[in-house]
Amino acid sequence: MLLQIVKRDFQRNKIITLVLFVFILLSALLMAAASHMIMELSGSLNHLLAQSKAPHYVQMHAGPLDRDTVQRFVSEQPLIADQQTVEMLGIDGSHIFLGPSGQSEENSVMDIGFVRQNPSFDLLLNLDNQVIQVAAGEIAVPIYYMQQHNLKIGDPVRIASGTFEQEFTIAHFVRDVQMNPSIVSSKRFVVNDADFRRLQGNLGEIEYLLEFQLTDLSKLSEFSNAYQASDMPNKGPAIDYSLFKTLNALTDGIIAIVIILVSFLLMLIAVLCLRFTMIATMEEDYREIGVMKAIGIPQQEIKRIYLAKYTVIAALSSLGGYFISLAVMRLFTANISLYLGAAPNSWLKHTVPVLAVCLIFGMVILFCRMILRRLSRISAVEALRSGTVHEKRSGARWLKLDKRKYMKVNTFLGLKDLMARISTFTLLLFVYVICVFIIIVPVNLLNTLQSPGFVAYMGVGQSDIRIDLQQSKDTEQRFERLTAAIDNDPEIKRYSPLITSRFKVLGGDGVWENLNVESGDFSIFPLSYISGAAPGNNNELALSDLNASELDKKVGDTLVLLVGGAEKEMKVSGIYQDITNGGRTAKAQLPHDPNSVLWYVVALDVLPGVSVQAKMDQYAEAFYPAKITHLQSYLSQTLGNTISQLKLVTLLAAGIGLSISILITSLFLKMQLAKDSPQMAIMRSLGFTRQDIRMQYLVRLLLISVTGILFGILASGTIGQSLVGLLGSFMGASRIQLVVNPAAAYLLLPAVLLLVVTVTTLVSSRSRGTSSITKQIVA
Amino acid sequence: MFILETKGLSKDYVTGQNLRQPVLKEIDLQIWPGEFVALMGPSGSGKSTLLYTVSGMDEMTAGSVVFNGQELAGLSENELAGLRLNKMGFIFQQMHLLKNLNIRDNIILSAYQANNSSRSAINHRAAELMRKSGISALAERDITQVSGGQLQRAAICRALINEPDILFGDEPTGALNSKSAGEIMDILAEINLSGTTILMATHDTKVAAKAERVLYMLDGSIAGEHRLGKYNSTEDDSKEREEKLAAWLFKMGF
Repeated sequence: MLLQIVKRDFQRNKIITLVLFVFILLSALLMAAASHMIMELSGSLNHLLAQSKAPHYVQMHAGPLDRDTVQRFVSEQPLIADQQTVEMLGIDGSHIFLGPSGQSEENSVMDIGFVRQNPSFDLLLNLDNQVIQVAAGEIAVPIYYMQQHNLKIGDPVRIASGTFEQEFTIAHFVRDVQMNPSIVSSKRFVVNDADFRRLQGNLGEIEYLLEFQLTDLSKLSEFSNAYQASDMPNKGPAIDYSLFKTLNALTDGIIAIVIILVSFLLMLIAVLCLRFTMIATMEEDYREIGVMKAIGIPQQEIKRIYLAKYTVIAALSSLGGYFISLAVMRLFTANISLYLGAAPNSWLKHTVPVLAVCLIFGMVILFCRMILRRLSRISAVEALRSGTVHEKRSGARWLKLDKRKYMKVNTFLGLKDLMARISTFTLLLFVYVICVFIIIVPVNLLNTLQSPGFVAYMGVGQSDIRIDLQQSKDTEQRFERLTAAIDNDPEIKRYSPLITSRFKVLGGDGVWENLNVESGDFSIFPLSYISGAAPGNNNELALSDLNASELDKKVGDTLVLLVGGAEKEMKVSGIYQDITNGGRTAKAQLPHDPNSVLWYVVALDVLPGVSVQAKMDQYAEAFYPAKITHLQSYLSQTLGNTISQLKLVTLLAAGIGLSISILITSLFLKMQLAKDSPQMAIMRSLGFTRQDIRMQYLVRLLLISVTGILFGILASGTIGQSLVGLLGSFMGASRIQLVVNPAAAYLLLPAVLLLVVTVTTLVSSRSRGTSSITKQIVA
Repeated sequence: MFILETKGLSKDYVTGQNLRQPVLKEIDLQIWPGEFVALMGPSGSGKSTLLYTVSGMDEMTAGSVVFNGQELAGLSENELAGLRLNKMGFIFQQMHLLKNLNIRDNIILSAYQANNSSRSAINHRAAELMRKSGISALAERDITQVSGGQLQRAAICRALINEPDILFGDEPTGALNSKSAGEIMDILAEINLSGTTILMATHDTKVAAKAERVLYMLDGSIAGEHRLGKYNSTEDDSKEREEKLAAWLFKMGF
């Protein structure tokens, strides 16, 4: 009998049932996928840590190494189980050419190191988690580059510097427990011992990794303190086991958390729909409930009848979500499998997603039970006598028809009803706010990335043309020829030559670190600064936001640079936002040493009336192979990939937002129309047409959607702005101000949403079935 | 010319198994302008259905209904709504006032919607109707704050606000106590005397005795007709009419 009731109810409310089903299913799917991701991440990471025999403590060191000191420390320190000193040959990206395209890594933000396989621990693994062994002429390339350049086994890797050249063949891809993640800015290539020696003889500088395995991992901080207190080499950062774990888990961990949040958001929409649906069903069945109570059916039994339907929906959709998650799980864990390898099978890996889905199911049922508590408030006598629920209405008594001289009756009735039972409409309001938020934030972000003003976050001033000269043997001469030509060109309005060199800066922990500093006159094409101003003399320096926070400097502070071999104190004149070069740049007016120059740039503006394109063509031909870029193209090239991905996300978000609006609006209206049918029948008996009644619904829905849009816009400007700021801070621009296109964000998008709501309302409230007023009025 | 005339009016209800259940069977009915006609008969005889069908609130299965010279079957839904708004008034047993509105707004609503006169004229007319019905003091009240009798008076005011040609009443005193019912009937009789045609279904002999003509319905047909003549509002007249009507109804098997 119970099944029959459920079946009949399904048939009666197909759309509503389907909507609830889909939302719970998606929620369960995402929850299962995210929990599986977390389990896979944890399993794979632990497996990788074990397989590669990850070191517990690593001290990087640049400069001469006193091996006797190391030996003494190791023999005296009881916490050390094993120790090895790894030689890493640092080679500048401009000497490394990856893959068949032979493109150099000169623009790469990564510090590239060449190593040999380690003998006892910190083993570098291949994609099958086997210890890599490379023959002469072979190389193992980090997974990061495999993804970046779509490299394959057998592809070439060329190392060239001056007359030296050596070509390798890719034999493996490296799964490196220390430097795997893309957010770690060092990468290790593995070569054979003979090749390593040959490379070392021709280029690069040796850095050391002093690696330790401890007898007791729980005493890591004790060991770290002992190390730092000793005279052990420490010219470089120290990293430990827990940091490896964090860095390896960060990217996928964040994705999993975002997925879980989305899952909860979907569940929230589902339970709001559920609440609305259940209350409407109970109101529809008010008299029947009265009858059941009157003939002595226990309340628990009545609850069971109502709960049965939602238990079936929740169970089926949760199960469906779980099974679909099994099918699409690989998509979610592909990155984990690639970077960390497959985790060994464990019962926990399979159990946790099931438990996560059970949690979704349990929460839905718990929510149903909470709503069903309303059953106890229904009086059998009252239900039998009146047959309809006396809704709690706020009344909105201040709104009176006879006081509204110019308001149309339908507008008045729509408004009055909305005000009188505003709580009924909160579901819709909430949905519209969410929809507007998820549509507008990506649109604003996209608009910000595409706006010309975005250069402010890229550490460059606004100019017409930018000319880049990359480092080569005769760059210095080419740069001089180029500036001389520009200086003599009558069509150039102004120009600014800028030279980026690598300097050493003294970090807070007393370690010399690399700092890329751009030198030149920054008053010609000024940057916009978060605080302070451009360097005004050769004792001042402006830092990018990320560098400032990493070096813990603010405007007015000083720092020490190694300039021409001598220490020079520089005052921080300003801080600017920069998302280029990993967000770590600086500006100064320093003399340059041709040996440490990374690249040369000339920014220029042409005179009015001069074609920018023609000037670009002219210079491109005259100064080949200089890279001549229109600044707008520079923006689109640098951010092109991000912009195209964001465009997709924006379209997707808009599609999802509008679909949810349509779905929930039509669901809401369907329920509301059923509930309001007696009142509608009364109005029709008085001579109101169906169009009049549709107008009243339209007024309600438009008022709610306009309110939702306003709150959504407000949330986009506040919460959205904070979210974008958080996102930007990872890239070096923590204070990105969303550039809003008012026409799109405040007119076009709200208009589209209003149009969607209008059409949905008109279609959903279209007259259906009987035209008999009697049936509705008497029902 | 009749204000309302039906010829061969039939109405079937279709039951769950697609079976047709005749509720009205080829009814021929004529109502003169200014007449007060009561429909009586046992439950299920078709009184309410006849009211809803001739007022265009329900569809007929066969036959014709002519109101003020207009055939209802040929009218669109909107035209029927226009007729109900401007030319007809309806009083229900359960009053059916709109939940969100106070008494005054319920009364003026359909006049504002019809927009035939200025809003101040409508407000004035509503005030006059409420005064006559004795509910002026309740104008600002919510519909949940007044008694059943007061609600029905408000419903009558609402039905009369657009000065309809005909007033339909479906058991308008059915949910009221005898005192309230008597007062409501006095109001209806007065309205009729002022020229408004009334067609009303009732079970109550006392109520029906106020009508000029009583039609007895049985199994979807008009089984008999009894003329009482115009009611003159005296107690003696009331009693005499009630007795005559009761005797006739007894003969009809009521």
